[in-house]
Amino acid sequence: MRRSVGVGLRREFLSRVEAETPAVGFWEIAPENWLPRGNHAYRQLDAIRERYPLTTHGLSLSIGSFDPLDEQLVVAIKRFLDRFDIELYSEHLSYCSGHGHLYDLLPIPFTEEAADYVANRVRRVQEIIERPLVLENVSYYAAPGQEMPELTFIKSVLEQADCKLLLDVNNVFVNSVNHDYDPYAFIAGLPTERIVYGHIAGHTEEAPDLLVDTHGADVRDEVFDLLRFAYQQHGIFPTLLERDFDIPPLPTLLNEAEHVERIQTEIESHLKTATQPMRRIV
Amino acid sequence: MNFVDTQKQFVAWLRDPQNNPAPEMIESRRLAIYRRLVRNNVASFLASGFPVLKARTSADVWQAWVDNFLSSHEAQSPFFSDIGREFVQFLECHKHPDLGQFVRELARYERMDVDAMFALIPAELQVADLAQLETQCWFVSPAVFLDQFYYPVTSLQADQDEPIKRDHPQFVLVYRALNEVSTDHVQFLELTPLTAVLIELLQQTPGQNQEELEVQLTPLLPHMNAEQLRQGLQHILTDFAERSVLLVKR
Repeated sequence: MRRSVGVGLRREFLSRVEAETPAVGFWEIAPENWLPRGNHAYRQLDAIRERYPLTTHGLSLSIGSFDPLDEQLVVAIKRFLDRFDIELYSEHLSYCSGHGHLYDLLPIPFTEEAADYVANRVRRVQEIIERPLVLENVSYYAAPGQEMPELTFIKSVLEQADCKLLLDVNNVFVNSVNHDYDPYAFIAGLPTERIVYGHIAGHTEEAPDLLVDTHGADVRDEVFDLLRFAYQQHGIFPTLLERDFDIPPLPTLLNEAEHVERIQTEIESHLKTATQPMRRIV
Repeated sequence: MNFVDTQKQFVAWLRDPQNNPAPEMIESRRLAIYRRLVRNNVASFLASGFPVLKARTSADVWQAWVDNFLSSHEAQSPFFSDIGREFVQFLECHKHPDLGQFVRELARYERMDVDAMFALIPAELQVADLAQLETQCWFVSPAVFLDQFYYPVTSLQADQDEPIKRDHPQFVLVYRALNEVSTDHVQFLELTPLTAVLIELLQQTPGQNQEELEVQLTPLLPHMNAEQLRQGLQHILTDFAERSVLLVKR
């Protein structure tokens, strides 16, 4: 699935999806929100899986934490992926625990030592899940202990761990405002061959120079523009619309997803006329 | 500072900003976002997991528990839906002037509801055929949770002050029936000590049949003759099988 648009699957509209089976390229779920939820959840997921591809986006791997890697969780996720026949497992290049879980995403210090440490843990995860780990560039509001640029850090982890990248264009936008850098240069600097998946979402403005990645608002035009640029730079990759708060009715979300689809169509026809070879992804 | 120390300092501040230094050279409004995100997220899970306890607790005290939970509890579960269980563990060992046995029992009871709702009953377990009661080997459904309470946690009134403590605990079983299509279909039963023992025997040694259970229960019930015990046991097994509290293997 190269050209494809997905939507984050929410319990809020799950029954509507089951009843109406809207045209969506794929649905994304957080394994941590389905694994411990009993028989009913598994039945629902089976029904969805019969009709749609699924991707996953984990929450609690805490790949950058000083707490030990929770291999039991990784094994449980591997079983879950196999059980529902899911190929793509993505997570955050972040940490969410320290002396126990904190259930929120914290910024890994951008240092060489941290990149080495994370890469080692990524390799271990990939061994267990027998799939590539797809890591997302996260949004961050502060960078404690920063010794290198974010882009250098991300590239170092990807290279050393030989893993894939989930390019979240909203996070690039949020970070570019919060840390005053050029989002286009950032995207252009990412390694094309590692990008296999994308996220797009809305954010909220706390101050003109401080945005918060809430996934609670509509996608801004500047962020759609960034996605278009990312496709031009790196080719089209399957892209997911995230929405976690103030969730609108399903048709509204599907409209936003269609916007992404139009961008994909536009880029694709442009690529065809330019007769550039197309890249295979996933 | 190496990256681990940087992380440790940041985490310590996030958990307890009153008593730990903030990371240096970082704008306080940026740090505040992290503190707010972590705190609000945990607080919202606890609010939805313990509606009765929260409604009975003053806002200040509730916030103090949430903050103490963040600062002193090392949550082991990676699942957000387990935050409530982590909170119950925290309450069991945390000392706070407003935190007594009633609060702990109420929290445990509210959590049992969630546990029963989300328990996974494996496909190999099914409802028993009642015609073969005597030959079945019994298993307690994983969607069954048993506890005992000195306070009447199952029958609290919203505006009632702390209820009176009983002299003896009441056994309470919370369960979700098999094949229940709706997840909000969790029920409770108040058990006699005998019935509670039966459940515990089967949880310790799953797969026992009626005769094996009879042998174990006989010394506990010297006042009952064999026929009374058999009839009593059959009655309980039938009832529990109908409710799918007890299941059998395929």
